[in-house]
Order: sequence, then structure tokens, then C-alpha cells
Amino acid sequence: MTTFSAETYQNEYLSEGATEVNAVITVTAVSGGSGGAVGGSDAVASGTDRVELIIVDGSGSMGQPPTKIKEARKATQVAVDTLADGTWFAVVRGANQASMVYPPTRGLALASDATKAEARAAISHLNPDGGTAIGTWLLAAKELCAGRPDAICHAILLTDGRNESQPAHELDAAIAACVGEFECDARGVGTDWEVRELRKIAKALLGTVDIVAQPEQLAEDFKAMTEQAMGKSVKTVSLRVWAPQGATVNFVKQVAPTIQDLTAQAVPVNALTKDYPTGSWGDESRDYHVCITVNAGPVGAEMLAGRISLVVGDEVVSQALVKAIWTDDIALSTRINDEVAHYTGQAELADAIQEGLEARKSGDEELATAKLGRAVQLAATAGNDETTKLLSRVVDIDDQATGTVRLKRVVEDADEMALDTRSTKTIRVRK
Amino acid sequence: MSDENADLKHDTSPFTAVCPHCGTTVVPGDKFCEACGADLPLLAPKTIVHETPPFEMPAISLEPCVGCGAPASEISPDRYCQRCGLRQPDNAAHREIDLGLIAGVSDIGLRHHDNEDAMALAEVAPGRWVAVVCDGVSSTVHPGAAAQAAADAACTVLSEAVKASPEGGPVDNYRAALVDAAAQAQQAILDLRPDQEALEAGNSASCTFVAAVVDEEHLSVGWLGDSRAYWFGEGDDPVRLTTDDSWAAQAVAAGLMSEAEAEADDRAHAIVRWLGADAVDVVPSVITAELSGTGRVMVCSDGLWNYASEAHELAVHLEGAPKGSTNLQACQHLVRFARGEGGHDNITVILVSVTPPPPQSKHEAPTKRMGS
Repeated sequence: MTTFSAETYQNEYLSEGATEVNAVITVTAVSGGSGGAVGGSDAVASGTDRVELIIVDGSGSMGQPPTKIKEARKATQVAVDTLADGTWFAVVRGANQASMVYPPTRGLALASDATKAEARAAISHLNPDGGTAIGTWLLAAKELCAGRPDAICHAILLTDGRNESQPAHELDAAIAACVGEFECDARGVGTDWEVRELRKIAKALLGTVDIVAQPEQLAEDFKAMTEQAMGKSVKTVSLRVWAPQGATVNFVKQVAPTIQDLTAQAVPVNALTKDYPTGSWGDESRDYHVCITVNAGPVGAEMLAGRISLVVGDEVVSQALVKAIWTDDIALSTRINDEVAHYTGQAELADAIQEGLEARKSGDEELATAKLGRAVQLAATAGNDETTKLLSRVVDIDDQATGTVRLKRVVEDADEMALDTRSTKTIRVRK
Repeated sequence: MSDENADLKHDTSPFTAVCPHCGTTVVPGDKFCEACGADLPLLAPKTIVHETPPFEMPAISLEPCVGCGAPASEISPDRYCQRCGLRQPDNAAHREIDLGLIAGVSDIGLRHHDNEDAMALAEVAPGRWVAVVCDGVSSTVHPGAAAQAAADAACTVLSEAVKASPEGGPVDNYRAALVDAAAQAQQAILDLRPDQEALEAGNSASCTFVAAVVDEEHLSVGWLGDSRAYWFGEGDDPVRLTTDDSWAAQAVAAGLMSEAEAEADDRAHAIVRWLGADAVDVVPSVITAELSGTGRVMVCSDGLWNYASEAHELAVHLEGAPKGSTNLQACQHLVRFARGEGGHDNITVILVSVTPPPPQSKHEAPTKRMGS
């Protein structure tokens, strides 16, 4: 049984006439008993049905160099080995179309020593040939999950190239059709793939996107992703946000462990309430930043600016309140809430990186330098050392505090892509 | 598609609720269950909570939203309007309770946003009364609900004690009962699950406490803080029965300054004893007295006595009520007086009229001898 809790961090005091309310909500899920343990061999015991799909790019380019497909096979075998017994799974080869690697028929196999061994054997015959039409891979995954609607469905998707065998609108249509069907973590091996394409998939399907520059690193990544998937114990969790009449929810963003703007993915519940999908949960904690504009109340009035509920299925399992209290006490209304300030900075950091990389790609060196410099400054302030390290592969840092940087003349594609994909990783504020 | 107004009227709650008769899901605000046709009472939303949350859950509202007028059914249990979001005041801005010989008025005053005073009173039996006033400390978090819970709990305890005690029972009983009443009032505040953060910040919901048990010949008063009780006896000097648990009173008692100096100090009204999660000592001071004659007992919060602190000052204003006023009218008069003086605080006053019983007639029934 998983217990959810939600806590609000905010300065609820507003000065007279102020209307913008910001709050950070920390949501924590803890499972009692054995369910949700990492690498949980108790997956079946906890009663959670799981489907795990491994979709491997089998296009011709995966054979150039041969080490790519070799490592991809190995990584896929590792993922299969990491499955908890009782997980439903399939391995799919993606090219112009999707084809089954294991099981041989279009369906799912139940993980056991026997089926895992058979799968490993089938994977070793996975050969590269053909083009890349990722949309077909996604639709195949959807079909495979359709048989188990109550299961927590997750897919690892690996590609090495652009979606060259399919027009963009077809990929978009496939992504749209798969929203809510399964969650997907997307990985690009090498540097010939489009970050933008995989990011679209990951965002819509509530997963992560990352670069695996060296094929040898695939096995470790696949193992980690599979372990995390095995740890999920609650299928569909939504953040339900109610705001009063006349108020506007400006945004709802996940801000930890990664930044994901959920605003556009809201599903209306009624005139004042919307559900924001957060996918499946294991034992974990995530932070959300909510920004609501309300009608100003008189000094002394207290208003509920937002009621944030955690909804599992259609049960409310936890709640956090976002309040607004108008005061003429300047000491109260000017207090900065550390959590809100921190994540506002982290979001600005992610935007600065994205805009800087865009500017650099389009040749606007001045803008790129300004944006990436700002990013360096923000990363330093927040103590986000990982991001600083990634930035230092794209710019030469002269002064962190003032954000004075110079664009490097030569930047490895892998370094640029790593900064791009990991720009949304945040560090948690120290509470 | 139903029009937007209908949506707003029925469907603004983020909660679902179930019909208590047939169990079908219904929408809060519906008056009848669509499935079985049963009347729907005010429903609490169906929230299944797996972990004890720090929710505040005072009673469900019976009044429409003070902001937008949304019906009471659209006020959530934690007292926010589900339409406009406004937090409803814990206590009504103006309350009156009229039981004849005992009556009370509680008023928000002119300056405060909420009425954080609370009162509870009862005529337990003819000639036996209980009066309680609790003044919520406004620098604490949601003190109004705490004050009301405390006052109600104390009144219940004392009413039970009066019922259980024999006619004109010994005043010692009431001493114990007053100590118990304060303890139960304290528990009532703790049962509201005060906010942990507020507790750590030192402003967990707190209130004063003054409770009087009165019969025709005795009274007992217990108190913590600076809400007061007075005796206005006909033909007697008016008397203040309580001594404030306040900084000013302690300073004067310690001989540090005169009463006038103490009253003028900024710290004057800081109370040194109270009820609340962070209260150290909740054993009230108790005074008991025998009453000789007709008169009135007054129990009040500082929103009144701030403007007429000395007993004889207050007596003047009490007498100033129009001739023939009932106790309720006299309370209203005193509230008007305090508001007229500026109404800087919430004002609460209870009056009890005491008349000594007629002397016992020593009358023996004649005995008859059968057949003499």
C-alpha cells in the first residue's frame, strides 16, 4: 500500500492589491511493506501488474559501427534480466515498421527464467536493416499494452538517428495517440539523432530523454531504467488543481527531479478544476511549482488560492493548500520563500540553457553568450555543480558569479546534446 | 451541454460525495439523490486519506459564503468557499444568546477582520447558571475556532458538574469542576489538531479562559488570562472578581510600577497564561464567594473592559442601559458602548441576574390522631 503526502512551501502573505501566488508542493510516495522495492522481485506479490517493453532501433545505421548493435543487444539482454518475475514484457525491433523480437507473436510474455532465456536468445539475432519511423514503434507499443489496461506500462525506446522514414506529422499523431497508454523513457545513442524529437516523445509520455554517447554505456542505463520501472507501484496519479472563480492557473510545473511543464497537459474536471498527469509512482518524491493569479482580497482576508489534491484512480489520497493572506505588514509580504525562489531560478536556468543552445545553433553568438552566461551564473547560485560541469564543455567560464563566459570554438556534438537533454535536471533545495 | 452557470452552481467542487441512502456518487450541492430520490443533507466530501494530515476540520458551515454568497453546501469542511476561495470566519461576527436571566453578546468590534472571541452559557436548572468566555489570541493561527471549542467544552463540563451536585452544593465541588473544565477546554483545542509549524513558531491557536458557575447564593469563577468576571451587587460596591494573568498585572503585583503606568505600557496586555497547544500551565485560578443579595454577575473579554477597567466605571455603563432592559439588552448596550469607544477588539459580555431565594418557611405538617 503506497502512502502519499503533500506539503506546501510558500509565503502566503501578499501585499495590498497583489494577485500572484507561488507555491512549491512536495509530493512524497512511500510504500509500506515489500511493494515498490527497487529490483522488486515482489512485484507480483504486491499485486501490481506490470508491462515492460524494450524498443530497440534496428535500422541500418545501428550496424555502423557494429559495436553499436552489439552493445544495444547486450543492453537489451541486461534489461530483460533485470525484469521482475511475473512482469509482462516484449522486445520490439524498430525500423520502417515495428517487428517482434520476443515473443515471436504480437503479444506479451510473462517473465520467468525460461522466457528470459528465450528472449536473450532471440535478442542475439537482432540485426540492423532498414530506416527509422519511430511513430510506428510507438503505435506497436500501444497495441501491446492494450491487452492489459490495468497494468503499469513502461517502454524503453532506443534510437540512433533521426525519424527520417516518416513525416513529422505522422510521428506527432502517433505520440498523441499514445498519451496515457504507456510511459516512455527515450534514449539516443551516438549523436546522429534529434534531441527535439525524443524530447517530444518523453514529454508527452511522461518519461525522460537522455544521450548515451558511447554504446558501451547502454547496458548500465538500461539496467537503471528497468530497475526504476520495476519500482513503480501506483499506476495513474494526477495532480488535481482547484482554483477559485476568477483565478487563473498560470502554470503547473514539475521542478524536481526534472523540470517538466505540465500546464498544457491539463485535463479539465469541472469549471474550476483541472487534472495534471504525473504518471506512475514508486517510492519517490517530486516537487511541483504552481503559480496562480487570484483576484486581490481586502487586507486581512484569507483566501484559498489553490487546493492541490493527489488523485489515484478517482480517489483523493492527499492534499495541500495554497493560501493567500493579504496584509499591510511589509515584513510579512516581502519574505522570500526559499523553495519558490530556488525553483524559479532552476526553471530560469533550464530556459537559459535552451535559448543559449538555440542561439548558438542559429549563429547568434552574442545572444548565445549572454544566455549561457546567465545559465552559468544561475547554476553557480543554486549550487548545481552537475549543470555547471555540462556548461563548461560548451563555454569557457571566466567568472561564475557574474556569468562571464566565452563560447568554445569547437564543441563536441555529444557535449552539446548532453547539456541539452540534461538542462531539465534540477537539484533539490535543502529543506 | 448544460450552461456555464449550472456548471458553476453544481459542479465546482473538486470532491465527490456519496448518497447516504443508496451509496451512489452525487455532486455536492445537489438537494436530492438522482438515483434513489432521497434528501441529501450537507455532505462532507469523500476524501480517503491514508495518512493523518494536518487539516483543520471545524464543524461544517451552516451559513453562506461571506464573500460571494455561495450556499453553505459549497463551503468545504476546512472553511474555504469552493467558489471564491474565501476563508470563512471561524465565529459569526455578531452572536446573541438570550436565556432570560442569563444572556450574552459577542461582537467583532470595528477593527478586526474576524471575531475571535467565543462564549458559551447555560441555565442548567432554575437558578443555576454557567457562563464561559474565551478570547482568541489574534497573533496566533486561527484562534477563533480554538476559543469556541474551548468555551463549548468548558460549558459542558460545568453544566454536568452542576447537575451532579446536590442543591446549593459545596463550593469546593465547583473548584474541582473549574479545574476540570479548563483541562477539557484545553483538550478540545488539541483535538482541533493545531498546526505543527505554528506550534514551532510559537503562535499555535491560543485563547484566554474565564468560566463562572453561579447559583442564587454562590459563585465560583476560574480563569486563565485577562478575560474577567465582575460582581455588581445591589447596594454593594461593584467588585472585580478576577486578577489578570497579564504582564501589567504581574508588574503591578511585583511592585514594579503603578497600575496606571502598567496599563499605559505596550506590554500591558501580553497574557502570561492561556489555553493552547503551547500552554505550560492550564490550571486556572479559582475564586469562590457567597452572594448576599440581588445583583448581576458579568463575565467579559478585554474588548469591553479596556474601555472601563475599574469595577465602578463598568458599573456606571451597566446602569446606563435603559430602564427595564433585559440582560440581553444590557449586553447589547455595553457592546454599543465599547464600539462607540472605538471597538478596537472583539467584544464579548455575559450577564447573569441573581436574586436570593425566599426564606425557607418552617412549617410542620399537623399530625392527626386517628380516632381520638
